[in-house]
Amino acid sequence: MSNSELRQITATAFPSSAELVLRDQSLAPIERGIGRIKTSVPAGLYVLQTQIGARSVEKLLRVADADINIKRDELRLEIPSPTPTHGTSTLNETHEEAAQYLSQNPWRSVDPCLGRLLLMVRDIRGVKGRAVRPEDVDGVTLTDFNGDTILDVAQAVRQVREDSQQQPLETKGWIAFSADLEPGTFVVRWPQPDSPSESTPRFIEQPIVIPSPGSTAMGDETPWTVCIFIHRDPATKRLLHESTRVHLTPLPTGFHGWNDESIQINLALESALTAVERGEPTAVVDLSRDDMQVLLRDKFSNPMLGIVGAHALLLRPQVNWSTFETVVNNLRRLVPGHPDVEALRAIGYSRRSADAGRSDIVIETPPMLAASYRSIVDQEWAERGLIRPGSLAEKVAGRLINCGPWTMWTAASASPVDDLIELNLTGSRGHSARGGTARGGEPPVGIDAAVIARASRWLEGVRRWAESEGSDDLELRPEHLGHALGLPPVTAERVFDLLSQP
Amino acid sequence: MSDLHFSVSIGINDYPAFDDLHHAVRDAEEFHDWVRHPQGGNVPDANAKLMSGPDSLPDDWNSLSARPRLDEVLHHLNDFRKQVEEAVRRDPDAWNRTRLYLFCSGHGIAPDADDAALLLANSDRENIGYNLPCAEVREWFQQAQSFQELLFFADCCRERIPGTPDSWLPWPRREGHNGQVRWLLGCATYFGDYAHEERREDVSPDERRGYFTRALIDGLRGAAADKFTRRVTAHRLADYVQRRVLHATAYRMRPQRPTMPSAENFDICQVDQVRLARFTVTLVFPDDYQGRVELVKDRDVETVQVNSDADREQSITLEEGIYQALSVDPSEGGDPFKRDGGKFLVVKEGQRVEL
Repeated sequence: MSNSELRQITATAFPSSAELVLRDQSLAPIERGIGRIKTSVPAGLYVLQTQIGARSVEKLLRVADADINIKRDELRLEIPSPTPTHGTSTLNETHEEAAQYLSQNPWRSVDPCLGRLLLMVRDIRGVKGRAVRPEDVDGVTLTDFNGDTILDVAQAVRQVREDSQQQPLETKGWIAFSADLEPGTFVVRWPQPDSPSESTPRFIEQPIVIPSPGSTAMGDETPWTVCIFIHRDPATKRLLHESTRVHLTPLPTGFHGWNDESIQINLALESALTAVERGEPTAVVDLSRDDMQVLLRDKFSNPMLGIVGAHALLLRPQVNWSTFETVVNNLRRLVPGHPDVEALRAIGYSRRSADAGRSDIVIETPPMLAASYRSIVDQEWAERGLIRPGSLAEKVAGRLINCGPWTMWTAASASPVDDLIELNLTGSRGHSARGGTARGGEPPVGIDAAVIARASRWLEGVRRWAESEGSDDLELRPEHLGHALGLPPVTAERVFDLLSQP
Repeated sequence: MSDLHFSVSIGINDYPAFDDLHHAVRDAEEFHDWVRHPQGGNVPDANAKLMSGPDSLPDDWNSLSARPRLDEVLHHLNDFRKQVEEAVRRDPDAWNRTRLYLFCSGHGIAPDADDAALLLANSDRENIGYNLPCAEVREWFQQAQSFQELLFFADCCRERIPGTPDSWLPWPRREGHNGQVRWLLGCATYFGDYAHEERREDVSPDERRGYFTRALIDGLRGAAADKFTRRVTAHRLADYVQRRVLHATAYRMRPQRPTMPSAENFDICQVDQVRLARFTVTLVFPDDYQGRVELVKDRDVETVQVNSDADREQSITLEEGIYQALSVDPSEGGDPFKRDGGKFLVVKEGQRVEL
């Protein structure tokens, strides 16, 4: 067939991060692209597939005697999100209105207000099963990073629900509260209703950073509202922490579910979070240039977009360090001292092998994004001093769990001694509850028994393997343990020493 | 015969601590059949291990007696590793002929965003760590460079369970120096989502499969092959399985979307002929339509006659693909098929096509 018998197909997807696949009559792919494709094909039947994650739309095409141009509105995809915002398939206007109202009218207010937290749990897939109620957050508390309770979340949302009866707010399908807080790092403790026994963790914990007021591009000093949205699955009644979405909005304006670019912003954010969570921009989640620009530009009104966007920049095969530095410097001005921004600075210095300025970065509290946290733990192995000894950031590193893109860890054991008896580690050689050989003495101060237990299991497994392999030259060092379990060096060394004692 | 190809297939229907599955063992058996078939994986019988638990459950079926267990699976993988490393030690060129298949079907979790971990039979909610993390095993072998090619498939859920301990293998890292390892990791579903089994009432229970395994086996047997070279490559297989499973589960609130990353595109097998899947679908013609209809796909034409109201819904078995329904008799009066001008997709069994 000559070129004159070929016809051109041009298609633009919306969002621009969607993958387009053109397929022939047997459904074999003949052309692929992110956001846009342009190709020439002979006459015939084709299907054009637009896809993000498990969402896809298809358009059947008959190519005859003319070129075909498919515009973005013909291939439009919407994706679900816990954030009640436009451009998602799960927008609920009453939820959006409630979030906006609560972000401007806190349940607990102080004057002057230097920071605010809005936490909303939503049913986003329709209500098949019981709708969300205040008792779904029974046992959830907000603590400071010393563990002292600041707020009982269930009590707060009950009060908000009662107050909402006085307001023109529809309360179906959401529970929420908002409160003014001093800037700093707080911890939300989530009970785990599925905990199988006393020996497994009954709480998981998540850091919430209320940033200090920062300077906007206009030079104003702006306090921030941290908006946290969580989806509760009505069928399983579980809060899906992994799908949590976090936004930062200027306190005076509060949360708004719509602006001219909210559709693209949300889609870009979803793509970027997926890329950051997976640690690699695969073809499907690769961010288009447009998406990246939206994230980096809109950080001025929502610095969380900039934090996620900066991580996504680091995933590019060729990092644009000039852009990265500009973004991080702007973020430092917007949300000074934010641990995620400090972690980004540290990652930047480390990746560029640049020492200047590195020494003033000391992380005390865990960043909100797991990608930030894991990076600083890795860097601590290369050069000590990034994580403050004895800080919360050091203590919980060994208890991190995988929970989507967010930093979460299991709460310290309620009874560390029980865990140690289980492992014969109480130091009373030969007299432990289960018999057998006991190793080591009292647990070192500041290291959770669960971390010691994990380390013990790992070491035991490796030793058993070495025995089965007949390998007697196995030389284990603390860094092997640290890398395997994600422990910072100080913790790994102390645990290694403890477990290596005769 | 691919004498340095090895395979471990695991299928688990019965878990003392979890709901029983129905087709996981048959999934593994079918993969085991394909992998040993001369027109399939062509793996020698001695190099292929099938692990599927006892045929009948003993009276003391519990987490202590349940099988297969993690250590058994690791033992077989380790055994095959030693065999292949010994062969490569004798003849370094032999490394270019080495491949390891790992197929898992059963309950599963996702300990990491890029992993799919099969829960072994003795796992339960208190021992969720008894799992086989396929991506981690793949990474380990990639670093050890024992095999040149790794083809791992996991037809299991990828639920995120808060509190799951980080996956670990009791194997210290090994740094191999044989060369670049090619790999494909097929996960039945997206991170955090479920993998499902077919619920087709028209098919006997023994013939049902997990959606992923069904698509995988059909793809390997030729549905994913290039029509000119007849080769099934990593990329073509990944595309075929993803599309097929997405279509089959599109009716669900959360459609199942396999993820199948690979290190590079490489040949998996060459089939004797391309065999597209065939599905029985119901065509629904417009009210009052009567006449002869041609269903056109490439150069193939199927003819359907609609003579009365009773013919308005007709079942027909067609190859997967894009069709156009053309009214040829009568040919006057414009296009009778208003929906997409008579164009339609055939992508799954039991589909209803409104023309």
